[in-house]
Amino acid sequence: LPTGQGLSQVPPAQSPYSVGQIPAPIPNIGSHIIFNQKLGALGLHYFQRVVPIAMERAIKDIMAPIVQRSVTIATQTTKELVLKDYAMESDESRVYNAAHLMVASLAGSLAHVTCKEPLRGAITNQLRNSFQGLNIGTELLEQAVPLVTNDNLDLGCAVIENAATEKALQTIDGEITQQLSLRRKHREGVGPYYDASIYTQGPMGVIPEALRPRPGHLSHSQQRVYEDFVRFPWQNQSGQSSNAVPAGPPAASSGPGSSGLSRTYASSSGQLSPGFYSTGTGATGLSATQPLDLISEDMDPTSAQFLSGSSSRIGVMDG
Amino acid sequence: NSSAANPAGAQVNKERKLASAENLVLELSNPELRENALLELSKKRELFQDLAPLLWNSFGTIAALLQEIVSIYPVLSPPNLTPAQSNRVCNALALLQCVASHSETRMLFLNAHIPLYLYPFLNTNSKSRPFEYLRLTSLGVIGALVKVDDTEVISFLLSTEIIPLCLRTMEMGSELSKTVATFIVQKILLDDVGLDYICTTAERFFAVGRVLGNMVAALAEQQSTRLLKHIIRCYLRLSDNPRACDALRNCLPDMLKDATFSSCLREDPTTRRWLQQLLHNVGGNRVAAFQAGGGFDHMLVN
Repeated sequence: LPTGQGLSQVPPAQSPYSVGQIPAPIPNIGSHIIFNQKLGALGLHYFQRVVPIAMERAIKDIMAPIVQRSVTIATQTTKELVLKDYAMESDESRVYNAAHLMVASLAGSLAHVTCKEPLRGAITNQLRNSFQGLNIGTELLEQAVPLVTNDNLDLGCAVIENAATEKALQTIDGEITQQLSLRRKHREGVGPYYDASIYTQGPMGVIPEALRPRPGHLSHSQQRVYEDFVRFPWQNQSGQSSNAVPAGPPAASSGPGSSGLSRTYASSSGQLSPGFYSTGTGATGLSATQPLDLISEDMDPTSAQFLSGSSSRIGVMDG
Repeated sequence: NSSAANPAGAQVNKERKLASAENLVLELSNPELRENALLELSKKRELFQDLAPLLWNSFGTIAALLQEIVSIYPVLSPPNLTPAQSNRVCNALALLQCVASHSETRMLFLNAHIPLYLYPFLNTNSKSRPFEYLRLTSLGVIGALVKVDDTEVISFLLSTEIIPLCLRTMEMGSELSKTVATFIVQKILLDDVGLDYICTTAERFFAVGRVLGNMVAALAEQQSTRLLKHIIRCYLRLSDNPRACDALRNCLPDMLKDATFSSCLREDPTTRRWLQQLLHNVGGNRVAAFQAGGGFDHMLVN
């Protein structure tokens, strides 16, 4: 439910600021700052001058290490997974495309989730500093600071998310180019565009045909997995915040962005009806016949799937 | 589905299981089928042999599981995770635990830095049930990693700062997630690299010592033998380090020295022995610490 609603209410193109539109590192932030009407009522009109500066400083205070860490992690993950999954791909542009989609999404998501609480603290600090020399009553300040912070936290997160996305996109090509050029040389030298021994032996050999990366091109559904990284998780936020910042698609990604929009992917309520599977593979039938070894000790679980999870978690403890 | 109602012989069953696992893994890459595939696979993952290599080597499966993880980041703060969302991502985490447990996939899993995507789940504050499930399941993945006593795993976790996240859960989690978090700290301490890490600075030692002490105090109110066992093992291992042993003379909770937990440990001779050894180590003479170059008090002054 949060997915569809959020997206239909705020299409990325019409949003006041989407991540893709904000140039890194800090945009003309003043024009995006939300100025709560209550501040005017409190007689704090001059906040409009002070808040953009405090926001910029707060973002600068915390951004660099968070962006760096997020980009490092996302780059490593993307390199390992894309090179693995696209081991049989002869069209390098497809490999780069998948890597761009993945690294942008992972780096942006990590940066956003990591920066939120530190940024809240940094904004609060900067606002307090800004007002230190001014003659504002403590009580008034205690009202105004959380108001401004809450109103603009998502904006700051979007700026940092965007910075991570941009940097990740700049970084990833350098990380995979060498490996891809080795593959290219191998293709040109040996003839076939993939290493047949990788395909039939080694870890891939035990993987059933349908699940393997295939020599040549991937199936549509296989490719779609990486295209799904264009899903802007922060757009799926339900209306808990009056000004949730919709994060636009990463500027440099060339994937079909629209494909992610119609999906029920992130919907938590998507309990599919059994009939949906009746034409399927029979895979669902197994559950009734297989009693699970459910060791729950003193847990009081309400759901079977959690129980099954807890058995191995508790199993962990025996070592 | 009639085949489900009539289980056939073992061999047929095994083949069907395999085919079923393959189909379910295939369905993971389809967003419309994924939720059910996650549920079915995580329920049956113990029945499928070598599910982990299948998950790792099949196209796009790990990427799809990562999408499940990052897709709930937006509901962590402010805390808006629903039970359905929590169950779904916990099913994805259960599959990653499979990958973390398997010897063929463990290092690939680490090398791709996948555990780091779980860290935001350990950094949450909410004590509500969906968050508690999420915390516990995430700790289960880390627990599966440390269970194998591999220094490389320990070094990875230390370098990514898992300790503060474990301490956080040990302070505010449920009894079960406290137990898993303490188990992880115990496994890290049992490795020499881990013991050195914790005892390198006074701040680290006292951060761990304070949290362990708080848990002991809380256990006096509500006893838990399995949690106490891991706490005592942590203390005992810390006492192997001369400086930490010296510091424990002052900060080991008195409740471990008196009869507070004697009934709790009555049925557990191993833990009783650990506790005796701990008290012996801490009660010994102080020469060792001074030979090692001074205790934490000295370091704190600097």
